[in-house]
Amino acid sequence: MLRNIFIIIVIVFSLFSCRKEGTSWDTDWISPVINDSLSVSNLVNDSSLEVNADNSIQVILNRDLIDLNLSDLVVIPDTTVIQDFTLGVPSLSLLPGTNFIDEVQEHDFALGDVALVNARMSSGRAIITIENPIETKGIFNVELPGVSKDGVVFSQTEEVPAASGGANGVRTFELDLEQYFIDMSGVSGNNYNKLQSKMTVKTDPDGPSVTMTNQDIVKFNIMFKDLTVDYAQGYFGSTTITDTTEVFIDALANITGGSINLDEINFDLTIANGIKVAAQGKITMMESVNYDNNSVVLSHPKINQLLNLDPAQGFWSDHIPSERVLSFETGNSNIVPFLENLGNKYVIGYEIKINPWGNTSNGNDEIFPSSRVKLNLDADFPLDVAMSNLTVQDTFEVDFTSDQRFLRVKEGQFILKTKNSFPFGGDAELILLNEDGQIIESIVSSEILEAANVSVTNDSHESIDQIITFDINNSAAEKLPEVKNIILKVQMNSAYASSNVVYANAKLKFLLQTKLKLNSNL
Amino acid sequence: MKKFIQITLSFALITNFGFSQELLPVEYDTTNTSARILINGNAFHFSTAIQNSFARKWLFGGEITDEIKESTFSEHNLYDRIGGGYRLNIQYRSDKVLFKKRSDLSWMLNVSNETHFSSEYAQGLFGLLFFGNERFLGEEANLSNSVGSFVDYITIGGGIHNKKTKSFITLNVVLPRAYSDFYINRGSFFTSESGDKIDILLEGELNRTASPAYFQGLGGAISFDYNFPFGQSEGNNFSGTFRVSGRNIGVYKLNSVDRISIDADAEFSGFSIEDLRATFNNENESSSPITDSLNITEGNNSFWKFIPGFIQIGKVVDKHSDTKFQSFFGIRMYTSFLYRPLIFAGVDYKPIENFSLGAQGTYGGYGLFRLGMYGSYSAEKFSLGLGSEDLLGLIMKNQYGQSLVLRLLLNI
Repeated sequence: MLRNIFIIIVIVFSLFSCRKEGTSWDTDWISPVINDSLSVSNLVNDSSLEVNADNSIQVILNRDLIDLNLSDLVVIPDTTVIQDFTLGVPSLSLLPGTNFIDEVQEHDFALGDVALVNARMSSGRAIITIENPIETKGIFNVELPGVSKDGVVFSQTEEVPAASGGANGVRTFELDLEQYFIDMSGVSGNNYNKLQSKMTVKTDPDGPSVTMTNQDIVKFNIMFKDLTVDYAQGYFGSTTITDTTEVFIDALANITGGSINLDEINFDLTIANGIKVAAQGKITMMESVNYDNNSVVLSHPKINQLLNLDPAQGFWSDHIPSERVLSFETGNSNIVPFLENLGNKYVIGYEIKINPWGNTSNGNDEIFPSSRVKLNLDADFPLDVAMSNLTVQDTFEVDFTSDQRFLRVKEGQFILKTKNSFPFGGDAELILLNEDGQIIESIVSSEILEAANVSVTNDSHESIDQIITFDINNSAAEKLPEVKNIILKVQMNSAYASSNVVYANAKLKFLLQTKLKLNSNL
Repeated sequence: MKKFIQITLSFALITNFGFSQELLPVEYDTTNTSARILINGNAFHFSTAIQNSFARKWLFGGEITDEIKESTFSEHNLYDRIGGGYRLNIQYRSDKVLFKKRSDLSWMLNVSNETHFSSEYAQGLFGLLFFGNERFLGEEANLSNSVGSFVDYITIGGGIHNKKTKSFITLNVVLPRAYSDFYINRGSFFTSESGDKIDILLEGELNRTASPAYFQGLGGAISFDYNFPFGQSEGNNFSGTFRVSGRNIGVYKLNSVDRISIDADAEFSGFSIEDLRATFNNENESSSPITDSLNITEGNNSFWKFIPGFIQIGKVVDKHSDTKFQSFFGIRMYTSFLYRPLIFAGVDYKPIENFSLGAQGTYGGYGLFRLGMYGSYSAEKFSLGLGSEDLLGLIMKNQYGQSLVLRLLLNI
């Protein structure tokens, strides 16, 4: 009987493992995805705009291409100074509390042809070690005259243990030099690269009387490490800095074809010297490299020529850099083809000579924490651009596989509702790529986005309302699980071939919706 | 033996994959006290609005076409209910005497598998789930006060039975295999006419067992039948036997349940380009515009649940009655607040000694009125019963439920 029951149970429960056919149904969903508007300010990054009297847009562009902090001009190497003291007599009996050293010494920083009279440390430390050779506790006062913070000279008193068994008593402590000024003019006040130290020592007032001989050496050791300055005064030496830097404009990195046509355009390059030092500067080259690796080198009479740069004026936060301005216009340069190259990479070479004529400031060079040497681009031009099949594309990673278990797109549409008053339009294409980067489907727009024409009053654009669709047919939907990347490719054209002044009402208002037939499967 | 297995196999196939239900009248036989194997199977689904054409696809697979959806949706009210499940129970009742003083008592074993689902839902929820929002542009779909649950469990146990009265009680271990539920306290979904704006109000919770173990928890339950006679059988007095039945009355604990809570009151009219730029650049890895606006929180915990068992009280049919017509009636209540008390009444007709036919009407449960029929045949060694609570549902696609009840009794 139990065997029969067991057989029944096995049969019945084995049947439970059978599975039914999946249940499926379709649902239709419509949803907004992106709802936004693009105005001129979205297109001209880090610029400000002004509206001219005729309602056209004026672009005012100001951007630092190079920003150098030349505090590295003043380098103070790691330096160790030692102050020793020995008796001038064979021996001396020291009662408790006896002052037996009170001495100032002067030390040198090895700075080459740089001669500093004052500097403020932005970082660094001093490691101070004191050795006591006598057999009673010593009370040491270490003072660094000229090393001060907030007007207070560094001074520290330390108790150093007595010598014992022939070994000196030792005491070590560390000083954080951040924000400390170091007056390097020496005891006389007319010198440079000098450090003063003062040591006073007395025996323990509560200790025994001891005898000190001329064989006992009191040592005072200061090790300056990792010093950097953010302010310096003196003579910074004569030096030349040469380098090449690359500036990338991400917004132009996605252009893959086509061209633009700019009307006359003017802009300035300004070399600014924020250091109180005589200098010369030179832009050795400026090159635009575009998506096709095509390069255009900027030409101008002042390119590759040394320009004299006067010292900056003023002090600390209110110091004023001296500037040299290079104006680029169609008459003196190839600025238009340079910009029409649509480079996303700009290579800028430069050379800066500091004190090219020696110590002409009589040791009054100064660098402040905010001192910079800059190359600044300054443009002010009407927004007037023509586009011809300007192709912009970007790639987005996607993954539709995770949603395939219960829900998949059967077919559908992206619906783009637009109101365009830009004088630019175009068409878009979605290219679906598999994991090997192969194109497996292409979805194109039902119509092109029309560029807006100029109104009859010549002070605005006539907006155009459109509904543009991108059909996802069943074939494309079936392939969605394979899609790993989508390329959005937009080809843009302007309303007019030569000149397209952009007026203040230019705006692209758009709503992207999805209209999808989803298949659920349980 | 081969024949026995064939019968059992056929029975199991039908109860698992056919349409069955519960209300097959029990023939009360106090004369047979032999050991026996009793196999009860039932499966049913029943709704106030969902038609069989839809339910069949949902339960047994296939494509729910637009025509099926439209037809079913048109039957919906503001709120509707659906419930269903299947139950297969195998009992072995020994004829060995357990206690010398009570020779009528013996032991029994019991094993069963049951799946049960139930839901009360707003019309808007059904509409959104099966049509999407495009159908409801410019309208608000109400989702509030919708609840639903699903549980699948196995019970194994044993107890004692009275060989003569057929009363029994068993104590069972409950082993839940899967559980899920949801509720929406407040909810609505509005899509503007042009599809450029969606308003979502959703306060609710979704729970689902998450343990990798085969059994998701542990519980205990009792099942019982208690039969007692009433009235005087002599003359024309109304008399017979009442049965109080309980199945799987108990609780179980789920060890690990994933909980997703949503408390959203959001209007969505599309992301801005800045939102998308930040998302593509992973600037806010810990959040996203969607999950932030829906206020979704996730967690895991354990909790206790009542087993969806039932209690049924009713008059049963006496196998050895002298009359050819007998009445039966009663009431059944599931331990689920979605299940309305179901009342039933019917007539049993015995044209020949070993064969009977019957018909009954029911009202309540997960639906409204239904008409059922059954037939049973008894031989010396076995009896077989087959019935349905919903006769029209078996043959018509536009009805709101289906059921089949099968019973096989083998005297050993």
